[in-house]
Amino acid sequence: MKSNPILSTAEKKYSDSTCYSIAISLRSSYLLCVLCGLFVVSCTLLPEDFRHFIKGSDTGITRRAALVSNTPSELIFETDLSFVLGHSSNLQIGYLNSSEFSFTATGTYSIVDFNDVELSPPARSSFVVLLDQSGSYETTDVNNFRCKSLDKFFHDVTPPSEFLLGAFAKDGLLPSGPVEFYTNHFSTDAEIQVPYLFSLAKRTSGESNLLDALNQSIDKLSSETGDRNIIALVHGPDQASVISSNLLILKAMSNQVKINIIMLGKEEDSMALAKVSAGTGGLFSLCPGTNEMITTFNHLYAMLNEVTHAYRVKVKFTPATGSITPGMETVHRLAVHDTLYNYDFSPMLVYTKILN
Amino acid sequence: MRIRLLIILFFILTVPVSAQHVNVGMTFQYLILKQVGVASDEIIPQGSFNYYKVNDNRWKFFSAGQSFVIGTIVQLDYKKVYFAIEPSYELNTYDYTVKYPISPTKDEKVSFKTLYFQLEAPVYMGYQFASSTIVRYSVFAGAEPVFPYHLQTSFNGADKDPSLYSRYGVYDMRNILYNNDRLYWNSLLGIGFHFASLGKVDVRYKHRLSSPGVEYKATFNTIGIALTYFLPLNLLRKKIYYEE
Repeated sequence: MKSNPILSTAEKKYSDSTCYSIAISLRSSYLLCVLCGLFVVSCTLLPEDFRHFIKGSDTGITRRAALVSNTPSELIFETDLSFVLGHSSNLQIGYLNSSEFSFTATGTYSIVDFNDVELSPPARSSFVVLLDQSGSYETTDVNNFRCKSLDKFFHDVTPPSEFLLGAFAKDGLLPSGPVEFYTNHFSTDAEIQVPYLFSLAKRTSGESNLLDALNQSIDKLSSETGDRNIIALVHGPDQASVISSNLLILKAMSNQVKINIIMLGKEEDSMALAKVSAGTGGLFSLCPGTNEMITTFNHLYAMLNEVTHAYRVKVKFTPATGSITPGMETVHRLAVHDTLYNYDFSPMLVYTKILN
Repeated sequence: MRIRLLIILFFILTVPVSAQHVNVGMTFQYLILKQVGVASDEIIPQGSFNYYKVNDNRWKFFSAGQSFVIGTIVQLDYKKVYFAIEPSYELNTYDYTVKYPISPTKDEKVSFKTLYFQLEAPVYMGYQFASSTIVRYSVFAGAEPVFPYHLQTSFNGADKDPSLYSRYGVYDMRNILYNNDRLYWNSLLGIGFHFASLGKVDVRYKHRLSSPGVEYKATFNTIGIALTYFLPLNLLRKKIYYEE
């Protein structure tokens, strides 16, 4: 007891028994407070958690691609590129420099301009979100991360923005019609459609009719106000559509619909998809694996609806052989190496088309 | 809650006045037949972006969890009726398996486990019948306040795949199979076989009275065996009486 500083002080100050009793009662009160505090702290068995999303890997996304000018021997194009972290839903990578960017194709590239830009969000967006149900995800998404990723995106959407979920495949387990929409109207309630979303994992088969599905989705969006977006998660090229990509792009442009494509699969299957997204002003994310897809969806709503960082890169391309002719289409492959963390981002594709 | 505790306390304090015997002893229980049931076809956890199909709500031996109980017992006999309280420590596990949809032909089974360290004080009343000089049988029923003070959660899959922890959330069953409550109640039913005043063996059934979650109602039922050994206090008292 003598070692207790409170009691020792009390003993010195109050020599008579009454004062000593007061000191004892003060000490008891002190102990009682400590015990009460411990009780309050111990009232929680487990720490409070929050809704968390699985980790992905750091990913680069082509936000926009456009031709600036061209001559018969060279062309200049401009692209906006964003890089996002796999382990966080907030942070974007803003420390890269132009020497870490390298384009590859049959020709030579030189970066003529390299800037940081902030892309401003629209006030309101409407999203049609399409899930490719064709074939099988046995090799590309063996653990069904796609449903979780889409679910995360839907939960990120906040009013007045709204969304509509649809799935597409031809001659598969979905009913006839290019797209099976969950409902007929746009919504902001992410919870209600969760069982439908995850049930789609049990209904994959058939062929991809992506372009027809996009065509029907443009019709759905045509009556919506605000920014109009289609987000398509696909894992292969179109196989069975009636409409051509050129017609579809024209229709999307005339209806002011951006087609954003997240491609979970191989680079060689992505050329036509990059064309559709670039042609409509949408973003394109090439995801060789599920980790990139997870990261893309983790940041997707922020990229489409919040102020986000991007690198605006202007590039001069000189083809190795031949000349640049009207109507020529080129897909430029971009590799980015993060020297700070010695990390290679997954390849990005930038599509350009020479005007007729 | 407070009123219930007061009633039980009053009941315990007033009974010894007219009790014929006061038996004090130790009890060991092993409860291995369990059922965990969620009243839904699916579970959408609030802590992640997962989705589970409810797979199996059946009774199971061992695989739905186990409970080990060690405790003391105070039993008051009055004619054919007895009252008992068993302040005990319980190590209580539950195991609940759900399915995550992967493909048209494949689901992944995920088993969520909860481990409770808890204190409890079952209070029950029994009625003895078919008694002879040596053996008696009884039925008993009561209530059991349970005070969990430590909770651990984990999960695993059928193939023990380590990547499972990156895909599912350890807290996915929070407020479904468990919560942060420091007290919950069980009801208790049992059949006992008493051997003189030395001990008893009983088979008991416990049913959790409240669901940990509101959105998804979960039920917990447990059946097991209890072995109770009474200290020979009554025999000792009789011996002293005869010596006098």
